Amino acid sequence: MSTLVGRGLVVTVLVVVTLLYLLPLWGAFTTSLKTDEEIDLTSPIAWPQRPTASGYIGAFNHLKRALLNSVLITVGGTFGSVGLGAICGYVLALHSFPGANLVFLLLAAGIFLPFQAILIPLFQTVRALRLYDTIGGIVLAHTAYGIPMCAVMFKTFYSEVPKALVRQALTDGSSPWRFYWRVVLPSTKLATVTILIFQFTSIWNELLFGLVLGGPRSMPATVALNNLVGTLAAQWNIQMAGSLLLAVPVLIVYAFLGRYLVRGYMAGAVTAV
Amino acid sequence: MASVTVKNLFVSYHRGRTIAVDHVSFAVEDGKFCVLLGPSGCGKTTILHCIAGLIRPTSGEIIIGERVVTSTEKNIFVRPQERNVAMVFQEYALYPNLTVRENLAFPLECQRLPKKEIAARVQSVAELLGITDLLHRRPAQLSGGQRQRVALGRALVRQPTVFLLDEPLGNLDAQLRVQVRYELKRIQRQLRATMIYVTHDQTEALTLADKIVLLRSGKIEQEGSPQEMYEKPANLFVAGFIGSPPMNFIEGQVLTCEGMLLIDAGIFKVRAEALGIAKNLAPGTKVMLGVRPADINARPSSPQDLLLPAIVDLLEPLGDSAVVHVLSGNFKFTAKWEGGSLKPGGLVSLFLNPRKIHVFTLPDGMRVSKIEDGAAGRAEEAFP
Repeated sequence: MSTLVGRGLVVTVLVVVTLLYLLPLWGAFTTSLKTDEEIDLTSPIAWPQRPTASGYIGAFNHLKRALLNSVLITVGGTFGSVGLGAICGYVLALHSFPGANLVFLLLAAGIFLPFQAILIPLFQTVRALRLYDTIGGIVLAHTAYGIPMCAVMFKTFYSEVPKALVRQALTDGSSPWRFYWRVVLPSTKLATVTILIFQFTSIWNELLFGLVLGGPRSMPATVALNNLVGTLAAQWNIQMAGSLLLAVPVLIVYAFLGRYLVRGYMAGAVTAV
Repeated sequence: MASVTVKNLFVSYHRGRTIAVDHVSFAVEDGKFCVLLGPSGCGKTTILHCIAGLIRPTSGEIIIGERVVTSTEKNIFVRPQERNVAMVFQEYALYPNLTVRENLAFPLECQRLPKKEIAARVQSVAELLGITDLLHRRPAQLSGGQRQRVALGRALVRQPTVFLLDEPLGNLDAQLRVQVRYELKRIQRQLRATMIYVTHDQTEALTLADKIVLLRSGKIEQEGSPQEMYEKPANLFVAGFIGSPPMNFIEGQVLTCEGMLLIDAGIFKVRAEALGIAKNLAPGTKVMLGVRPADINARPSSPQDLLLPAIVDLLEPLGDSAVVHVLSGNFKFTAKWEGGSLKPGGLVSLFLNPRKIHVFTLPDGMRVSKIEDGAAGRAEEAFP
């Protein structure tokens, strides 16, 4: 009996906490479907009397360029940082060289550098490269900033690849490259997907680099959405619709690849192969 | 195929504080089966990795065929992928994401051979090893024996100059091990392949090898044919390591009695002359006598045989024979028993041919050579 009561209590607490978490999202969703007049007259969480898509149409018109920028920046930054990070991780994990430990230490230190600390030199570098207010500039920044995290994560995964396989590949006459493409990469799909999702969500949601390195031509959707607050102060439906539009790609990625993420985190603890 | 020569190989770690291989030299003739034998940590795998090019030695030279592949003096180091040696590891090291066919084809793809030739070679090796019906499977779907065959196949398919095998049977059960051992020997003979095989199992070494190199603590204790190692062990370590059950040892001392040299081993005294040793030992010399369990018999084989009355301590039946642990005075020893039934606690008379007794001087543990040894042999070196 007492266990039943205990379970009931736990479930109740979980439901309440979940509702609390979902409430703002629900409020954003209902508001995004309301007209300006209805927003002023009803509670934010009340279902609209006449749901309308005008908020979404307005948000899309405001954000379409920025959304396209975000897609380009995220795809470029994700593949750049994951691709280069994977190669770094592979070499550090399976092909040791003099000074490898120092390189790893420096890479690991890169993870702990806060955005703010590198912002000014980064801005100056990007401007000196004539990449200010270009998609390429922001992609470059995300790639460089993402490499340490990706390299360390890949190294952890690749360290699980048995050393005997590396030795075997070498005596089989394989170059390190062939071994990587033919064996290591396909054997560690889970790790790659996990790190891809991780980088994708980080870059998609990122604001600061876009704010500092992007301008009118290259600003990502996060910056554009932030700008809506100042320019469209009264149009809550558009702002809420914009927020939800911005969340859609991340939700889609999680819906399709989220299971890999959980399995990837679990697999890393035991074996990557 | 090619011969392999290892000259003065030296490998040390931790800035010379740990010595893995200590100035080892040996040669393997073309088409011969050489076994590097020794206990764990003796440096045998390190030597194999040096030959494969997976380890750069601290100093020394390795020659495969006519080609110097490693030479610290001449600053030569050929990369493993360019040595054309095939290696089989104890862990099999099959590529987990590739099918058996792709695993076998992998080394050939690295050589950029035409697809037709790759397919033909894979097929012929699969037929040789009886794994044609496994070609579509992945390693995880194979048993230990099947994986071992695939690993061997991947080495064979390359037609390398030398095969290097690092305890390839270590993960197999006893029955399968015997079967694969036979197959390995058959294939080696058929291809006239040069194979260097690492193991700590002396039975494997004795059954497979044309030549055994026995190592301890990074040094060669003795090298020679299995028969030579068994019959003329160079020292106490070799004598104790080769042979199963291991050799029995009993300490003795050289005495003179009425002008004759005797060796007193406590439970028996034997004339030095009867042992057939090639040199005289000075009276007072301490020696270790070694007797193989197979040389202790239930019946005398010659009039000179020594009688050892003993009490049976324990019996280990082997089916057609038994290993019997007996006590004779304070001397505990084992014998291979092919006579009638025995019971623990019972009395038994055993006979020992003095010619079969191995004599080692103490404290250096070196073998005293015998008249029938003839010329040569490392054992001679100890007694110039």
